Amino acid sequence: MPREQFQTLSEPMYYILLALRSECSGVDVMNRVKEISGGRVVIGPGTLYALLQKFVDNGIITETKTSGRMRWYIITKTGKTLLDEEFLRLRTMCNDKLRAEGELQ
Amino acid sequence: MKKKTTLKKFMFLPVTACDAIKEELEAMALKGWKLKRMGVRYEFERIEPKKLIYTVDFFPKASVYDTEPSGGTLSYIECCRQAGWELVASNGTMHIFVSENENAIPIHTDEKLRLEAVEKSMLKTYWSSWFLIPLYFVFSIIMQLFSFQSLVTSNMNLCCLIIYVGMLLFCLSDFFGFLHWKVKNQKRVKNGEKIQFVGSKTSRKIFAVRTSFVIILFLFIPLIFSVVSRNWFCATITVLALFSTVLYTFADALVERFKVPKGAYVFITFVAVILVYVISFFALLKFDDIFNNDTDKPSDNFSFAANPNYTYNIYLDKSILASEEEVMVERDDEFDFRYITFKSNSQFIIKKYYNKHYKTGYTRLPQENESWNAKEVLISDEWNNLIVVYDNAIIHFNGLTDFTAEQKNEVSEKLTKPVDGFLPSLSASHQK
Repeated sequence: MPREQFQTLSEPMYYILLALRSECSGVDVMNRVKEISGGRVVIGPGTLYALLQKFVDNGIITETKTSGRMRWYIITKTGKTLLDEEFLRLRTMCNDKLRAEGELQ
Repeated sequence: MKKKTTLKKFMFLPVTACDAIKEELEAMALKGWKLKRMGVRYEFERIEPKKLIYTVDFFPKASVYDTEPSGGTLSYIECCRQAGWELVASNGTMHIFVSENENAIPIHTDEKLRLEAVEKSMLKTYWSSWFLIPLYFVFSIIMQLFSFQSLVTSNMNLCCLIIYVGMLLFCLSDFFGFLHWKVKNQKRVKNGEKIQFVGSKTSRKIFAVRTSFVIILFLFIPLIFSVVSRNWFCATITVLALFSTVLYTFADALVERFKVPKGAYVFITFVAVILVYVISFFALLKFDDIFNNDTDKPSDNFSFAANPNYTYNIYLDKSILASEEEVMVERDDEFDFRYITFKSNSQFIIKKYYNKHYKTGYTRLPQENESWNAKEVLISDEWNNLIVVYDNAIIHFNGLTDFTAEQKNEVSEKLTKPVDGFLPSLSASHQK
Protein backbone atom coordinates (compact mmCIF):
# COMPACT_ATOMS: atom_id res chain seq x y z
CA MET A 1 0.00 0.00 0.00
CA PRO A 2 2.61 2.64 0.90
CA ARG A 3 4.37 1.88 -2.35
CA GLU A 4 1.30 2.67 -4.34
CA GLN A 5 2.10 6.36 -4.65
CA PHE A 6 5.55 5.42 -5.92
CA GLN A 7 4.17 3.12 -8.69
CA THR A 8 5.75 5.46 -11.16
CA LEU A 9 8.43 7.83 -9.97
CA SER A 10 8.30 11.48 -10.86
CA GLU A 11 11.41 12.99 -12.39
CA PRO A 12 12.65 14.59 -9.13
CA MET A 13 11.99 11.33 -7.23
CA TYR A 14 13.96 9.31 -9.78
CA TYR A 15 16.94 11.63 -9.62
CA ILE A 16 16.93 11.85 -5.82
CA LEU A 17 17.05 8.04 -5.62
CA LEU A 18 19.83 8.00 -8.18
CA ALA A 19 21.80 10.48 -6.09
CA LEU A 20 21.21 8.48 -2.91
CA ARG A 21 22.86 5.28 -4.17
CA SER A 22 25.71 6.48 -2.02
CA GLU A 23 25.26 8.20 1.32
CA CYS A 24 24.79 11.95 1.12
CA SER A 25 23.23 14.92 2.91
CA GLY A 26 20.29 16.98 1.67
CA VAL A 27 22.58 19.61 0.20
CA ASP A 28 24.66 16.93 -1.53
CA VAL A 29 21.50 15.47 -3.06
CA MET A 30 20.62 18.84 -4.56
CA ASN A 31 24.07 19.24 -6.07
CA ARG A 32 24.33 15.66 -7.28
CA VAL A 33 20.95 15.74 -8.99
CA LYS A 34 22.05 18.83 -10.86
CA GLU A 35 25.33 17.13 -11.75
CA ILE A 36 23.82 13.78 -12.85
CA SER A 37 21.19 15.46 -14.99
CA GLY A 38 23.71 17.84 -16.47
CA GLY A 39 21.92 20.82 -14.95
CA ARG A 40 18.59 19.86 -16.50
CA VAL A 41 16.80 18.83 -13.28
CA VAL A 42 16.79 21.32 -10.44
CA ILE A 43 15.12 20.51 -7.14
CA GLY A 44 14.28 23.27 -4.67
CA PRO A 45 15.18 22.63 -1.04
CA GLY A 46 11.55 22.69 0.11
CA THR A 47 10.53 20.11 -2.47
CA LEU A 48 13.61 18.03 -1.69
CA TYR A 49 12.76 17.90 2.02
CA ALA A 50 9.16 16.99 1.34
CA LEU A 51 10.30 14.11 -0.87
CA LEU A 52 13.04 12.91 1.50
CA GLN A 53 10.45 12.82 4.27
CA LYS A 54 8.09 10.76 2.12
CA PHE A 55 10.88 8.36 1.18
CA VAL A 56 11.95 7.92 4.81
CA ASP A 57 8.35 7.37 5.93
CA ASN A 58 7.94 4.62 3.32
CA GLY A 59 11.30 2.94 3.93
CA ILE A 60 12.64 3.80 0.50
CA ILE A 61 15.62 5.63 1.95
CA THR A 62 16.96 5.70 5.48
CA GLU A 63 18.64 8.31 7.64
CA THR A 64 22.22 7.24 8.37
CA LYS A 65 23.56 9.96 10.64
CA THR A 66 22.88 13.41 12.02
CA SER A 67 25.59 15.91 12.76
CA GLY A 68 24.60 19.39 13.81
CA ARG A 69 22.28 20.79 11.21
CA MET A 70 23.11 18.14 8.63
CA ARG A 71 21.46 14.80 8.04
CA TRP A 72 22.68 12.02 5.79
CA TYR A 73 20.59 9.52 3.90
CA ILE A 74 21.06 6.40 1.80
CA ILE A 75 18.80 4.32 -0.40
CA THR A 76 17.38 1.06 1.07
CA LYS A 77 16.86 -2.30 -0.59
CA THR A 78 13.21 -1.39 -1.25
CA GLY A 79 14.36 1.84 -2.78
CA LYS A 80 16.84 0.08 -5.02
CA THR A 81 14.15 -2.33 -6.25
CA LEU A 82 11.86 0.61 -6.90
CA LEU A 83 14.56 2.43 -8.86
CA ASP A 84 15.35 -0.69 -10.89
CA GLU A 85 11.70 -1.29 -11.67
CA GLU A 86 11.34 2.30 -12.77
CA PHE A 87 14.43 1.99 -14.93
CA LEU A 88 13.08 -1.17 -16.59
CA ARG A 89 9.74 0.53 -17.14
CA LEU A 90 11.36 3.55 -18.73
CA ARG A 91 13.62 1.35 -20.86
CA THR A 92 10.67 -0.73 -22.00
CA MET A 93 8.86 2.47 -22.89
CA CYS A 94 11.82 3.68 -24.93
CA ASN A 95 12.24 0.34 -26.64
CA ASP A 96 8.53 0.14 -27.39
CA LYS A 97 8.67 3.49 -29.10
CA LEU A 98 11.63 2.49 -31.17
CA ARG A 99 9.99 -0.80 -32.15
CA ALA A 100 6.69 0.85 -32.96
CA GLU A 101 8.44 3.34 -35.20
CA GLY A 102 10.46 0.54 -36.77
CA GLU A 103 7.27 -1.36 -37.60
CA LEU A 104 5.75 1.68 -39.22
CA GLN A 105 8.72 2.15 -41.53
CA MET B 1 17.78 63.27 16.28
CA LYS B 2 18.51 59.59 16.66
CA LYS B 3 17.29 57.62 13.71
CA LYS B 4 14.93 54.75 14.43
CA THR B 5 16.65 51.43 13.92
CA THR B 6 13.79 49.04 14.48
CA LEU B 7 10.18 49.09 13.47
CA LYS B 8 7.35 46.94 14.73
CA LYS B 9 4.29 46.52 12.62
CA PHE B 10 1.02 44.62 12.90
CA MET B 11 0.11 42.83 9.69
CA PHE B 12 -3.32 41.31 9.81
CA LEU B 13 -3.28 38.75 7.05
CA PRO B 14 -5.33 35.63 6.39
CA VAL B 15 -3.67 32.23 6.61
CA THR B 16 -3.16 31.76 2.90
CA ALA B 17 -1.72 35.20 2.29
CA CYS B 18 1.87 34.21 1.52
CA ASP B 19 1.92 36.48 -1.50
CA ALA B 20 0.60 39.40 0.50
CA ILE B 21 3.35 38.91 3.08
CA LYS B 22 5.96 38.61 0.32
CA GLU B 23 4.68 41.78 -1.37
CA GLU B 24 4.64 43.74 1.90
CA LEU B 25 8.13 42.61 2.89
CA GLU B 26 9.63 43.35 -0.53
CA ALA B 27 8.08 46.83 -0.46
CA MET B 28 9.53 47.37 3.04
CA ALA B 29 13.01 46.35 1.80
CA LEU B 30 12.82 48.99 -0.92
CA LYS B 31 12.02 51.50 1.81
CA GLY B 32 15.05 50.35 3.80
CA TRP B 33 13.52 47.89 6.28
CA LYS B 34 14.49 44.25 6.50
CA LEU B 35 12.46 41.70 8.42
CA LYS B 36 14.14 40.63 11.65
CA ARG B 37 11.55 38.71 13.62
CA MET B 38 7.97 37.58 13.42
CA GLY B 39 5.84 37.25 16.52
CA VAL B 40 2.54 38.94 17.25
CA ARG B 41 4.05 41.76 15.22
CA TYR B 42 6.58 41.87 12.41
CA GLU B 43 9.86 43.49 13.44
CA PHE B 44 12.14 45.21 10.97
CA GLU B 45 15.67 46.54 11.12
CA ARG B 46 17.12 49.46 9.20
CA ILE B 47 19.14 48.57 6.07
CA GLU B 48 20.21 50.34 2.90
CA PRO B 49 17.14 50.37 0.66
CA LYS B 50 17.52 47.53 -1.84
CA LYS B 51 15.66 44.88 -3.74
CA LEU B 52 15.26 41.71 -1.70
CA ILE B 53 13.41 38.58 -2.72
CA TYR B 54 11.33 36.97 -0.02
CA THR B 55 9.78 33.50 0.04
CA VAL B 56 7.21 32.32 2.53
CA ASP B 57 7.42 28.58 2.95
CA PHE B 58 5.71 26.06 5.17
CA PHE B 59 7.57 23.17 6.70
CA PRO B 60 4.93 20.86 8.21
CA LYS B 61 7.45 18.91 10.31
CA ALA B 62 8.26 22.01 12.35
CA SER B 63 6.53 22.30 15.71
CA VAL B 64 3.88 24.95 16.14
CA TYR B 65 5.42 25.83 19.50
CA ASP B 66 9.02 26.17 18.36
CA THR B 67 10.31 29.59 19.23
CA GLU B 68 13.57 28.73 17.50
CA PRO B 69 13.81 26.10 14.73
CA SER B 70 14.95 22.71 16.02
CA GLY B 71 15.44 19.10 14.96
CA GLY B 72 14.65 18.25 11.35
CA THR B 73 13.72 21.84 10.64
CA LEU B 74 17.37 22.82 11.04
CA SER B 75 18.54 20.60 8.19
CA TYR B 76 15.75 21.92 5.98
CA ILE B 77 16.86 25.48 6.79
CA GLU B 78 20.49 24.56 6.16
CA CYS B 79 19.56 23.08 2.79
CA CYS B 80 17.70 26.29 1.90
CA ARG B 81 20.71 28.34 3.02
CA GLN B 82 23.01 26.39 0.71
CA ALA B 83 20.57 27.01 -2.10
CA GLY B 84 20.87 30.74 -1.44
CA TRP B 85 17.91 31.35 0.88
CA GLU B 86 18.64 32.85 4.28
CA LEU B 87 16.04 32.30 7.00
CA VAL B 88 15.01 35.64 8.47
CA ALA B 89 12.05 34.72 10.62
CA SER B 90 9.90 31.78 11.50
CA ASN B 91 6.73 31.22 13.42
CA GLY B 92 5.61 27.65 13.93
CA THR B 93 5.52 25.93 10.56
CA MET B 94 5.83 29.19 8.64
CA HIS B 95 9.30 30.22 7.52
CA ILE B 96 10.32 33.39 5.76
CA PHE B 97 13.47 33.30 3.66
CA VAL B 98 15.27 36.09 1.91
CA SER B 99 17.67 36.15 -1.02
CA GLU B 100 19.41 38.91 -2.92
CA ASN B 101 19.80 36.69 -5.94
CA GLU B 102 16.84 37.04 -8.26
CA ASN B 103 17.75 33.77 -9.98
CA ALA B 104 18.06 31.62 -6.88
CA ILE B 105 16.46 28.17 -7.21
CA PRO B 106 12.92 28.50 -5.89
CA ILE B 107 12.42 26.71 -2.57
CA HIS B 108 9.67 24.64 -4.12
CA THR B 109 10.06 23.28 -7.62
CA ASP B 110 7.03 21.02 -7.37
CA GLU B 111 3.69 22.75 -6.93
CA LYS B 112 1.85 19.64 -5.87
CA LEU B 113 4.24 19.01 -3.00
CA ARG B 114 4.13 22.68 -2.09
CA LEU B 115 0.35 22.59 -1.85
CA GLU B 116 0.57 19.46 0.30
CA ALA B 117 3.07 21.16 2.62
CA VAL B 118 0.86 24.25 2.97
CA GLU B 119 -2.20 22.14 3.67
CA LYS B 120 -0.48 19.99 6.31
CA SER B 121 1.02 23.04 8.01
CA MET B 122 -2.29 24.87 8.05
CA LEU B 123 -4.10 21.94 9.62
CA LYS B 124 -1.35 21.57 12.19
CA THR B 125 -1.41 25.26 13.09
CA TYR B 126 -5.13 25.95 12.92
CA TRP B 127 -6.79 22.67 13.88
CA SER B 128 -7.92 24.15 17.16
CA SER B 129 -9.46 27.29 15.71
CA TRP B 130 -10.97 25.37 12.79
CA PHE B 131 -12.31 22.33 14.64
CA LEU B 132 -11.91 22.48 18.42
CA ILE B 133 -13.23 26.01 19.01
CA PRO B 134 -16.15 25.67 16.54
CA LEU B 135 -17.00 22.39 18.25
CA TYR B 136 -17.09 24.21 21.59
CA PHE B 137 -19.41 26.83 20.10
CA VAL B 138 -21.66 24.20 18.51
CA PHE B 139 -21.86 22.43 21.87
CA SER B 140 -22.69 25.70 23.65
CA ILE B 141 -25.35 26.56 21.07
CA ILE B 142 -26.96 23.14 21.43
CA MET B 143 -26.92 23.48 25.22
CA GLN B 144 -28.57 26.89 24.95
CA LEU B 145 -31.25 25.66 22.55
CA PHE B 146 -31.85 22.61 24.69
CA SER B 147 -32.72 24.72 27.71
CA PHE B 148 -35.22 26.68 25.67
CA GLN B 149 -37.03 28.20 28.61
CA SER B 150 -33.99 29.72 30.27
CA LEU B 151 -32.79 30.86 26.86
CA VAL B 152 -35.82 32.91 25.90
CA THR B 153 -36.29 34.42 29.33
CA SER B 154 -32.74 35.58 29.82
CA ASN B 155 -31.12 38.44 27.95
CA MET B 156 -27.74 37.12 28.96
CA ASN B 157 -28.41 33.71 27.47
CA LEU B 158 -29.74 35.28 24.28
CA CYS B 159 -26.69 37.51 24.17
CA CYS B 160 -24.41 34.49 24.61
CA LEU B 161 -26.26 32.62 21.88
CA ILE B 162 -25.72 35.49 19.45
CA ILE B 163 -22.04 35.67 20.39
CA TYR B 164 -21.64 31.89 20.01
CA VAL B 165 -23.31 31.84 16.61
CA GLY B 166 -21.29 34.87 15.52
CA MET B 167 -18.00 33.38 16.67
CA LEU B 168 -18.87 30.04 15.09
CA LEU B 169 -19.45 31.77 11.77
CA PHE B 170 -16.22 33.69 12.27
CA CYS B 171 -14.16 30.53 12.80
CA LEU B 172 -15.90 28.60 10.05
CA SER B 173 -15.52 31.42 7.54
CA ASP B 174 -11.77 31.17 8.05
CA PHE B 175 -11.84 27.42 7.52
CA PHE B 176 -14.08 27.59 4.46
CA GLY B 177 -11.90 30.37 3.08
CA PHE B 178 -8.99 27.95 3.31
CA LEU B 179 -10.98 25.07 1.76
CA HIS B 180 -12.00 27.28 -1.13
CA TRP B 181 -8.40 28.31 -1.64
CA LYS B 182 -7.28 24.68 -1.52
CA VAL B 183 -9.82 23.40 -4.04
CA LYS B 184 -9.04 26.25 -6.40
CA ASN B 185 -5.32 25.53 -6.24
CA GLN B 186 -5.73 21.79 -6.57
CA LYS B 187 -7.34 22.50 -9.92
CA ARG B 188 -4.54 24.88 -10.85
CA VAL B 189 -1.87 22.32 -9.94
CA LYS B 190 -3.68 19.65 -11.96
CA ASN B 191 -3.62 21.96 -14.97
CA GLY B 192 0.10 22.48 -14.47
CA GLU B 193 -0.30 26.02 -13.19
CA LYS B 194 1.43 27.59 -10.20
CA ILE B 195 -0.25 27.89 -6.81
CA GLN B 196 -1.84 31.27 -6.37
CA PHE B 197 -1.77 32.74 -2.88
CA VAL B 198 -3.96 35.54 -1.65
CA GLY B 199 -2.48 38.94 -2.51
CA SER B 200 -2.31 42.17 -0.50
CA LYS B 201 -5.47 43.70 -1.93
CA THR B 202 -7.69 40.70 -1.25
CA SER B 203 -6.09 40.27 2.18
CA ARG B 204 -7.01 43.79 3.14
CA LYS B 205 -10.56 43.22 1.97
CA ILE B 206 -10.85 39.98 3.93
CA PHE B 207 -9.43 41.67 7.02
CA ALA B 208 -11.87 44.58 6.69
CA VAL B 209 -14.86 42.25 6.32
CA ARG B 210 -13.86 40.07 9.26
CA THR B 211 -13.14 43.03 11.54
CA SER B 212 -16.42 44.73 10.64
CA PHE B 213 -18.23 41.48 11.34
CA VAL B 214 -16.88 41.33 14.89
CA ILE B 215 -17.52 45.03 15.52
CA ILE B 216 -21.09 44.79 14.18
CA LEU B 217 -21.67 41.68 16.27
CA PHE B 218 -20.68 43.48 19.46
CA LEU B 219 -22.50 46.71 18.51
CA PHE B 220 -25.60 44.74 17.64
CA ILE B 221 -25.95 43.36 21.16
CA PRO B 222 -26.34 46.62 23.10
CA LEU B 223 -28.59 47.86 20.32
CA ILE B 224 -31.14 45.07 20.42
CA PHE B 225 -31.02 44.47 24.14
CA SER B 226 -32.23 47.52 25.92
CA VAL B 227 -29.68 46.84 28.60
CA VAL B 228 -29.86 49.16 31.52
CA SER B 229 -26.31 50.24 31.11
CA ARG B 230 -24.98 50.28 27.59
CA ASN B 231 -21.88 52.05 28.84
CA TRP B 232 -21.17 49.15 31.13
CA PHE B 233 -21.51 46.71 28.29
CA CYS B 234 -19.25 48.68 25.96
CA ALA B 235 -16.70 49.27 28.73
CA THR B 236 -16.56 45.55 29.55
CA ILE B 237 -16.06 44.57 25.92
CA THR B 238 -13.41 47.24 25.37
CA VAL B 239 -11.50 46.28 28.50
CA LEU B 240 -11.66 42.64 27.46
CA ALA B 241 -10.33 43.36 23.97
CA LEU B 242 -7.56 45.62 25.30
CA PHE B 243 -6.66 43.14 28.00
CA SER B 244 -6.27 40.29 25.49
CA THR B 245 -4.13 42.42 23.18
CA VAL B 246 -1.87 43.61 25.99
CA LEU B 247 -1.60 40.10 27.39
CA TYR B 248 -0.61 38.55 24.06
CA THR B 249 1.88 41.32 23.31
CA PHE B 250 3.36 40.89 26.77
CA ALA B 251 3.62 37.12 26.34
CA ASP B 252 5.30 37.66 22.99
CA ALA B 253 7.77 40.16 24.44
CA LEU B 254 8.51 37.70 27.26
CA VAL B 255 9.22 34.94 24.76
CA GLU B 256 11.56 37.18 22.78
CA ARG B 257 13.34 38.76 25.75
CA PHE B 258 14.20 35.50 27.50
CA LYS B 259 14.41 33.22 24.47
CA VAL B 260 12.21 30.79 26.36
CA PRO B 261 12.33 27.08 25.54
CA LYS B 262 9.44 25.27 23.90
CA GLY B 263 7.89 24.02 27.17
CA ALA B 264 7.78 27.51 28.66
CA TYR B 265 6.28 28.89 25.47
CA VAL B 266 3.49 26.32 25.54
CA PHE B 267 2.94 27.19 29.21
CA ILE B 268 2.81 30.95 28.57
CA THR B 269 0.37 30.47 25.68
CA PHE B 270 -1.78 28.22 27.83
CA VAL B 271 -1.81 30.66 30.76
CA ALA B 272 -2.68 33.56 28.45
CA VAL B 273 -5.63 31.65 26.97
CA ILE B 274 -6.88 30.59 30.41
CA LEU B 275 -6.57 34.17 31.74
CA VAL B 276 -8.60 35.58 28.86
CA TYR B 277 -11.18 32.85 29.37
CA VAL B 278 -11.49 33.50 33.11
CA ILE B 279 -11.77 37.26 32.61
CA SER B 280 -14.44 36.70 29.92
CA PHE B 281 -16.31 34.48 32.32
CA PHE B 282 -16.42 37.17 34.99
CA ALA B 283 -17.33 39.76 32.40
CA LEU B 284 -20.30 37.59 31.44
CA LEU B 285 -21.37 37.37 35.07
CA LYS B 286 -21.29 41.15 35.11
CA PHE B 287 -23.53 41.10 32.03
CA ASP B 288 -26.01 39.07 33.97
CA ASP B 289 -26.19 41.90 36.52
CA ILE B 290 -26.55 44.44 33.75
CA PHE B 291 -29.34 42.57 32.07
CA ASN B 292 -31.32 41.39 35.04
CA ASN B 293 -31.43 44.20 37.48
CA ASP B 294 -35.18 44.67 37.60
CA THR B 295 -35.80 41.33 39.29
CA ASP B 296 -36.96 42.95 42.49
CA LYS B 297 -39.81 44.83 40.87
CA PRO B 298 -42.73 42.46 40.61
CA SER B 299 -44.84 42.89 37.54
CA ASP B 300 -47.58 41.04 39.38
CA ASN B 301 -50.80 42.87 39.76
CA PHE B 302 -53.11 40.06 40.55
CA SER B 303 -53.26 41.43 44.06
CA PHE B 304 -52.75 37.92 45.31
CA ALA B 305 -49.40 39.07 46.37
CA ALA B 306 -50.25 42.65 47.08
CA ASN B 307 -52.12 41.97 50.29
CA PRO B 308 -49.88 42.96 53.21
CA ASN B 309 -51.17 40.00 55.22
CA TYR B 310 -49.68 37.59 52.74
CA THR B 311 -46.06 36.77 52.38
CA TYR B 312 -44.70 36.10 48.99
CA ASN B 313 -41.53 35.54 47.03
CA ILE B 314 -40.98 36.49 43.47
CA TYR B 315 -38.56 35.12 40.93
CA LEU B 316 -38.43 36.86 37.64
CA ASP B 317 -36.55 36.00 34.48
CA LYS B 318 -37.07 38.55 31.82
CA SER B 319 -35.63 39.09 28.40
CA ILE B 320 -36.58 41.04 25.32
CA LEU B 321 -38.38 37.97 24.03
CA ALA B 322 -40.19 36.55 27.03
CA SER B 323 -40.55 36.65 30.77
CA GLU B 324 -41.21 34.05 33.37
CA GLU B 325 -42.32 35.12 36.80
CA GLU B 326 -42.86 32.82 39.68
CA VAL B 327 -44.76 34.05 42.71
CA MET B 328 -45.04 32.01 45.90
CA VAL B 329 -47.90 33.07 48.09
CA GLU B 330 -48.38 32.12 51.71
CA ARG B 331 -51.70 33.32 53.05
CA ASP B 332 -53.27 33.37 56.45
CA ASP B 333 -56.31 31.49 55.15
CA GLU B 334 -54.20 28.39 54.42
CA PHE B 335 -54.54 28.89 50.65
CA ASP B 336 -50.84 28.54 49.84
CA PHE B 337 -49.91 28.33 46.22
CA ARG B 338 -47.52 29.48 43.58
CA TYR B 339 -48.21 30.72 40.14
CA ILE B 340 -45.98 31.05 37.17
CA THR B 341 -46.70 33.59 34.49
CA PHE B 342 -44.95 33.10 31.21
CA LYS B 343 -45.36 35.98 28.81
CA SER B 344 -44.18 36.54 25.30
CA ASN B 345 -45.37 38.45 22.28
CA SER B 346 -44.13 35.70 20.03
CA GLN B 347 -46.68 33.05 19.14
CA PHE B 348 -43.85 30.70 18.34
CA ILE B 349 -42.35 30.95 21.83
CA ILE B 350 -45.72 30.59 23.55
CA LYS B 351 -46.49 27.54 21.45
CA LYS B 352 -43.11 25.99 22.16
CA TYR B 353 -43.49 26.62 25.90
CA TYR B 354 -47.00 25.21 25.81
CA ASN B 355 -45.92 22.10 23.94
CA LYS B 356 -43.05 21.52 26.31
CA HIS B 357 -45.10 21.70 29.50
CA TYR B 358 -48.80 21.31 28.84
CA LYS B 359 -49.26 19.21 25.74
CA THR B 360 -49.97 16.07 27.74
CA GLY B 361 -50.97 15.26 31.28
CA TYR B 362 -53.70 17.85 31.66
CA THR B 363 -57.45 17.88 31.01
CA ARG B 364 -58.96 20.58 28.89
CA LEU B 365 -62.05 22.43 30.11
CA PRO B 366 -63.65 23.58 26.89
CA GLN B 367 -66.74 25.10 28.42
CA GLU B 368 -64.71 27.33 30.73
CA ASN B 369 -62.91 29.27 28.02
CA GLU B 370 -65.60 31.91 27.67
CA SER B 371 -66.04 32.59 31.35
CA TRP B 372 -62.29 32.71 31.95
CA ASN B 373 -61.87 34.89 28.94
CA ALA B 374 -58.99 32.70 27.83
CA LYS B 375 -58.00 30.61 24.85
CA GLU B 376 -57.78 27.41 26.82
CA VAL B 377 -58.12 26.24 30.41
CA LEU B 378 -56.35 23.11 31.59
CA ILE B 379 -56.46 21.32 34.90
CA SER B 380 -54.73 18.38 36.43
CA ASP B 381 -57.15 15.70 37.53
CA GLU B 382 -56.57 16.38 41.20
CA TRP B 383 -57.39 20.02 40.66
CA ASN B 384 -54.28 21.41 42.26
CA ASN B 385 -53.01 22.63 38.93
CA LEU B 386 -54.79 25.18 36.87
CA ILE B 387 -53.36 26.47 33.63
CA VAL B 388 -54.89 29.34 31.75
CA VAL B 389 -53.60 29.92 28.24
CA TYR B 390 -53.85 33.28 26.52
CA ASP B 391 -52.58 34.47 23.18
CA ASN B 392 -49.41 35.81 24.66
CA ALA B 393 -49.30 34.47 28.18
CA ILE B 394 -49.67 31.24 30.08
CA ILE B 395 -50.51 31.30 33.75
CA HIS B 396 -50.02 28.21 35.83
CA PHE B 397 -51.49 27.99 39.34
CA ASN B 398 -50.12 25.27 41.51
CA GLY B 399 -51.74 24.84 44.90
CA LEU B 400 -50.05 23.02 47.72
CA THR B 401 -53.41 21.39 48.28
CA ASP B 402 -56.32 20.89 45.91
CA PHE B 403 -58.27 24.03 45.16
CA THR B 404 -61.56 24.31 46.96
CA ALA B 405 -64.56 25.61 45.07
CA GLU B 406 -64.13 28.92 46.86
CA GLN B 407 -60.50 29.20 45.90
CA LYS B 408 -61.34 28.28 42.33
CA ASN B 409 -63.81 31.13 42.26
CA GLU B 410 -61.29 33.55 43.67
CA VAL B 411 -58.71 32.64 41.07
CA SER B 412 -61.26 32.80 38.32
CA GLU B 413 -62.47 36.20 39.46
CA LYS B 414 -58.96 37.61 39.57
CA LEU B 415 -58.26 36.30 36.15
CA THR B 416 -61.36 37.72 34.59
CA LYS B 417 -60.73 41.14 36.13
CA PRO B 418 -57.06 41.71 35.60
CA VAL B 419 -55.63 44.84 37.13
CA ASP B 420 -53.66 47.47 35.25
CA GLY B 421 -53.71 45.61 32.00
CA PHE B 422 -51.67 42.79 33.46
CA LEU B 423 -53.17 40.58 30.83
CA PRO B 424 -52.12 42.17 27.60
CA SER B 425 -52.59 38.55 26.90
CA LEU B 426 -56.19 39.00 25.95
CA SER B 427 -56.23 39.35 22.22
CA ALA B 428 -58.61 41.68 20.44
CA SER B 429 -60.91 38.82 19.54
CA HIS B 430 -61.32 37.86 23.18
CA GLN B 431 -61.91 41.35 24.34
CA LYS B 432 -64.82 41.75 22.00
